[in-house]
Amino acid sequence: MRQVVEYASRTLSKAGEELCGDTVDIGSTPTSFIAVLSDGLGSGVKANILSTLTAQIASTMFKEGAHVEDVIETLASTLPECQVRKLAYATFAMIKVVRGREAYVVEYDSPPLIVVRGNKLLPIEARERTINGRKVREAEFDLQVGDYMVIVSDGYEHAGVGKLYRLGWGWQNIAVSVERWAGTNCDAYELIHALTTTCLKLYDGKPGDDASAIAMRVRPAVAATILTGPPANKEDDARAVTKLMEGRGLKAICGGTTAQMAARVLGRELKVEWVRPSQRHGEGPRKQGTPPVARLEGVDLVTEGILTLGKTAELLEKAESTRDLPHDSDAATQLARILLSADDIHLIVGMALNPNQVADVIRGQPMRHMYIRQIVRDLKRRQKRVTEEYI
Amino acid sequence: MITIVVCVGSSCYVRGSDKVAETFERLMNEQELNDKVELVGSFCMDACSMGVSVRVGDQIFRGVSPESAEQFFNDEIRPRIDAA
Repeated sequence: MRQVVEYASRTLSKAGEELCGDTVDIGSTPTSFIAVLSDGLGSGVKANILSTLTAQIASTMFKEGAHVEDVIETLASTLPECQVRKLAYATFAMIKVVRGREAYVVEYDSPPLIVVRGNKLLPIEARERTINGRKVREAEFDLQVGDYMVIVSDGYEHAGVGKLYRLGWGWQNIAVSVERWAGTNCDAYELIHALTTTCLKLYDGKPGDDASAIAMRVRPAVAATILTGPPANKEDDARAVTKLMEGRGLKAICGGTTAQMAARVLGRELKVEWVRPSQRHGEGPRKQGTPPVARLEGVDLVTEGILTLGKTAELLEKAESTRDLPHDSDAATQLARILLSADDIHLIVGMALNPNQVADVIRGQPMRHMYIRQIVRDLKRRQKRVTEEYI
Repeated sequence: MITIVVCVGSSCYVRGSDKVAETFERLMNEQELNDKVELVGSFCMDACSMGVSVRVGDQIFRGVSPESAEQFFNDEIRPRIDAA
């Protein structure tokens, strides 16, 4: 079973500052997940530049497999020096997780990573090393499904200082809060929401420092299989449908003709969920423009093809997660919801040209493929594993 | 009971199948035919590229448009309902 790290992050700027001096950078390769939180010296523009450079350099170098020494050295020789403090400085914490299991953590002057397993704080043994006169902590450990991890910037530790807490929220208290939230079995988005809300409350809505956090949760990967378009050769119809039905996870069909083909192969009834115009309610203008969905036993979602794919591509351009999608139940939103909730997506794309829509072919390519390419690109950008198969 | 199936496949949908259905529904209400006719939607009927496809009973008509929907209803659908 593949494990993945689900994550969500949020940065809060110091009250009155337009730019945040903390930067979060999330990157990944087909096998690893990398998250960096960097906190630049001071606040505002300078801090923003320092932390952006640090986060991106660290993220890129660790992704390429560089050693800590090289990363620290590169940072030291790249960062611009602050004219007031004669210092080039931004702290960072980096976590790299290979195959959702093997974690490697590097912390440079940042609060330690919080790891919660079974609702209890998991002590992580870190080695301390001095590189170029800078103290760096490193740790390695294995992750399990259900583990929660949180990286915070020091703005979190200081939240509420002198007010609700004499010395601020403090790492230990933040960890206790994470333990409690983990007990509610929340996901990474709920966890970041809880952390941010609490932090803001402690600061009375006006953070005294940039405060940022990355919330992570380890969970099994969610899969989805999508069939769109009938195969180029009619003899392959049954094979294409079988591939879908034997595919992993949620199943969806995009395409009216494809749906009819699947119904024929499966010998099941295809029922279009079409509501008479007068009986539709609560339908805003946003919903207009995508044809209805249909029901087919054994398939989770059946939609029309080209219009729905186009609208879905549009939704995926903006929405980062299912939480950013409108609360609609039209075909495109439902399809986008499936795609965004899955980690492993397999697309079976039929190569048949619709004889009725030859006008659709743009520069020798059917519209369907253009939309599919756009959707694949946007899903990959969200660290999802997407595979395509043309039939 | 006669079934009217309006195609809501990509091509017909773009050509205004929803408007055609709205017109049919309005006429069904006006002419008090709701207990004699069932109005449903379906995916592609393989008769695209000419306008909205409509199936009345066993017969498929191609090329209905939002503008011609009312006349089509009166000329083709109404006689079939009366005959049934």
